[in-house]
Amino acid sequence: MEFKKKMKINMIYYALLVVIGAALAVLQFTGYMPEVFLSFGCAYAACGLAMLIKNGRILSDPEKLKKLEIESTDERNIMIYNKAIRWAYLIFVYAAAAAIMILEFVGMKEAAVTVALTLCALFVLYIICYAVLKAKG
Amino acid sequence: MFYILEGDDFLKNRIRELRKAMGITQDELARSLGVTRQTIIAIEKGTYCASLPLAHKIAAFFGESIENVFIFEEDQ
Repeated sequence: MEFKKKMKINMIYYALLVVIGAALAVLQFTGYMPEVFLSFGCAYAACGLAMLIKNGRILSDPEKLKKLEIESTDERNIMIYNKAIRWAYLIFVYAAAAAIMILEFVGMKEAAVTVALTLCALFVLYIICYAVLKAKG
Repeated sequence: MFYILEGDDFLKNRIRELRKAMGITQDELARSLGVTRQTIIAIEKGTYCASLPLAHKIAAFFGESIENVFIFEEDQ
């Protein structure tokens, strides 16, 4: 898909984010939602609005649009992005394994079990993703 | 010539030489290929190995065959 078209579709998502955020905030103010939704709503609306302004500026400037397109589709950038995710995953696994042992050692059994279960869920997710990607070829 | 280490294999490339012969900058080459200048620098230095589609694009840009731009030699 053309990059400009992708950005325009993203603008629709950001606009939706603003609407959802504003709706959550309004519903909280009118007492239909618990207090926590006010912060969620404000955060959604602010992020959506910021991205709308940013994308709007980029779309109106062909030079900036071309630069962003090159940076987003550059194969080395994509390789670095994927490598960073792999590194982060590995670091998380090792850190979680260490956390389980430390938490168990200091007697925080419930926290250790929670981290262990999170780690198990991550492994299950990994196996599913691996199987799907392998089947796709 | 620069070398890319991929396992036990080396991949040389003549991009710098061809680019200089054509009289264009890394930035101009990058813009023509739709990649960043950093990618061209990395390929020329031999720290990044271009994908097959990009290798095709580079070869086509210089009007050469892939074999003439990227020279694969086993067991060097």
